[in-house]
Amino acid sequence: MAWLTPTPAAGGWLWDFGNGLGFVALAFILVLSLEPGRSRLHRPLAWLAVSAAVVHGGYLLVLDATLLEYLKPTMPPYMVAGLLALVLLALSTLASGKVRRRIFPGQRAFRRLHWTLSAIVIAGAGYHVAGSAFYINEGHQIALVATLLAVFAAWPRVPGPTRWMLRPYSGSSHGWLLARRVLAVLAVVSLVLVVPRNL
Amino acid sequence: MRLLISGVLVVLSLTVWFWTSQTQRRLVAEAPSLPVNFAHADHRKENCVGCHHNFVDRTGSGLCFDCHERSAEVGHLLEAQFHRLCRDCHMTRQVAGEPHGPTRRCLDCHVADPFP
Repeated sequence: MAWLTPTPAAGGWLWDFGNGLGFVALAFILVLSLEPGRSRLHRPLAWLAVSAAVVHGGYLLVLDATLLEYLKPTMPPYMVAGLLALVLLALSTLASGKVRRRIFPGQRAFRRLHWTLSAIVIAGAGYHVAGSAFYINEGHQIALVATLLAVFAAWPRVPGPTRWMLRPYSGSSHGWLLARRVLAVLAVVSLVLVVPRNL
Repeated sequence: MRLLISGVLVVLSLTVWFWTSQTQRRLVAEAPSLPVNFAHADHRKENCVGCHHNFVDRTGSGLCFDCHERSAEVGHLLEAQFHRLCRDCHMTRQVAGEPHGPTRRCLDCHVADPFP
């Protein structure tokens, strides 16, 4: 990702790698919107998103201790948004399976809340990216990314379009399916980051 | 379930309220600022009033931080304003392939100034 932008290794490879992990987490979140909740891959992908987001934060804190300033009450709003998105993402992922069935006996209420939380997570992560202004900082880039994020966030609420995605599952191994989704994540990262950066 | 939704909404509302409140602004303004390493010698080609705007717009006569850290009006904008001023200029130069200062790593700027 950092290689493809006009300012490769802008902060040094180690620093850009840490931020790249954050973009990978965001891309996993967006792919979750395309992945039907009933599929076998929704939860593994959610755990990958949580892991990437946690490693993104932890790695950067180890790399640059000054960033501890961003965990104090004086942190800027875009860091609050990122942290809030991470907490809600972790909560949504933890409250799945048996826990989810205990809290939400009905599917409909759960879906509504789950989608609301995911929309907040996407909005929070988007604000975090735009607010930090490292890679997406021009007005037209922010507008394009906001539009893309809105489309991804709204996708599960559009009736029909996610159904066809269940079809390729027949006959494919779990590992291959997961690999395909990881490739999709890379494509989404390119779409969300590389395209706007090069405009 | 209503309790859970209410809990999430309350946490979200409190977060938004706190980070837009005067309390948070005061906390930011009162927090000790991070050390910043800045050398005038590295910026001699820059127009002085690009940073020292108060010499032309008459908004003050003291040090930068007299307003930018302690003023209730702009104190909470310290990070955003200085990052925009320093980092964005460095990034613009970096993209243009010109010599530039730090663009990302906090510790490249936020260390004690070795110059008197």
